[in-house]
Amino acid sequence: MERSRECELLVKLVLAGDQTAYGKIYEETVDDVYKTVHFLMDHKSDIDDVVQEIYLQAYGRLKTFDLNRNFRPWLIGIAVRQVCAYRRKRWTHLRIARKAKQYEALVEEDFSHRIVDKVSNRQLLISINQLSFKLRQVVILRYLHDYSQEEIADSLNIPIGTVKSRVNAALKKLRQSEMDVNIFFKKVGNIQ
Amino acid sequence: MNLEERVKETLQEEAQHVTPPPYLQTRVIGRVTRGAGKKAKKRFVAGVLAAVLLLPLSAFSYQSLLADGVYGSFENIKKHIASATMEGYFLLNAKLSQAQGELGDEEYAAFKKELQVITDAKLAYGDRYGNIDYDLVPQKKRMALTEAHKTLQPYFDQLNNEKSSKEILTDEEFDQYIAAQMTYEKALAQSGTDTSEGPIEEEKLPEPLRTEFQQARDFLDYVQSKQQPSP
Repeated sequence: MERSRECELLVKLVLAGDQTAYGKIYEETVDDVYKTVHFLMDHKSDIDDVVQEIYLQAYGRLKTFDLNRNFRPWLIGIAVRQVCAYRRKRWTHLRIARKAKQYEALVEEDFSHRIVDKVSNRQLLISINQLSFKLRQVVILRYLHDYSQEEIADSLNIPIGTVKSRVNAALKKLRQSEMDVNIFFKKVGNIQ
Repeated sequence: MNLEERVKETLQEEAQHVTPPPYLQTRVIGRVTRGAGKKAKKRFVAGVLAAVLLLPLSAFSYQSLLADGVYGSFENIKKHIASATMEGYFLLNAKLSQAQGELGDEEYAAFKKELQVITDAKLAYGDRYGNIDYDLVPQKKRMALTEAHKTLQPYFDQLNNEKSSKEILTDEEFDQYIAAQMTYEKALAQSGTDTSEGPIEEEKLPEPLRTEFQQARDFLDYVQSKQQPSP
């Protein structure tokens, strides 16, 4: 929370005309924003552009930010919406290209990644990536950023009941895909 | 360990390997500060047409003006567009004389013909500030307007003393540029923004329009940055 308060102070400075303060806001928040975008985007090559867009948007809307609120969830909300906008744009313009890139990304995931001894964690990560976008975004906010359900509702501008049901649906899906994988391994074991 | 904890651990562990590249900061902050400095920049949305919508001025002795060739007369435009002013009309006239001087007779005739298509549409479909909501214009007419915009854009660029957008953009980008301009105008119309009141305020737009509007505006920014001579 303390870190967060610092952001609100910086926002005040920016609004008062101190341009360098926005650079500090960037430094304070970029890690969270970048990670969020990373986990929500299917192909990682455009992350930089989207992050740029997010900070541009946030800057433009800074004067509408309610200083009594927490800055981080507000910013992450913008981030998620920008990723949404980006996905929509991609979808209409470059559906085919995107499909091709997705395969590329998958291949990348499989080969170039560092070797992890925790195989099941790796599997879990893949399952998270396979969740629908709506479910993925609540999972990222809830478990990566440790947001409360209220904060998620605030960020995404959805009712808290929806947050709860999405988190539950996501966990259910993850549990299900874990079971599927286990069954698969068992089958493989049987063949041997 | 239960599933929730494992999800948390997995994500946070993976996130440790995800760090923003250092060069990104310069790019982001550079773009933000550049954007902020240019906030009050003028934008000839459809070039000279926007110039018609300016500050009020007292009556002026009537004389034959080039602008009459486009709008009929000032009285005529005043009937349709509430915020039209005499000063704006004279500004348009000045632009037109400049156009006539710079373009030569034949080109000017072509320019005026296309311009007429747009001004006619403005009078027929424009709101009281002269902005057209293209969603309400019949499909066929809209196509004609798009074409007219495309033909006119190079003239506007020339009159604004900017590099021709048609030359610096690819064909696809140029089409997108025209579309972005029309979207921009549509947003102005749908939100009932008074163009003479200064730049549009995003917060006033209805929610479904915003993303579209932002994309249009970003693209216009992009074109503008391309048109400006590199420092």
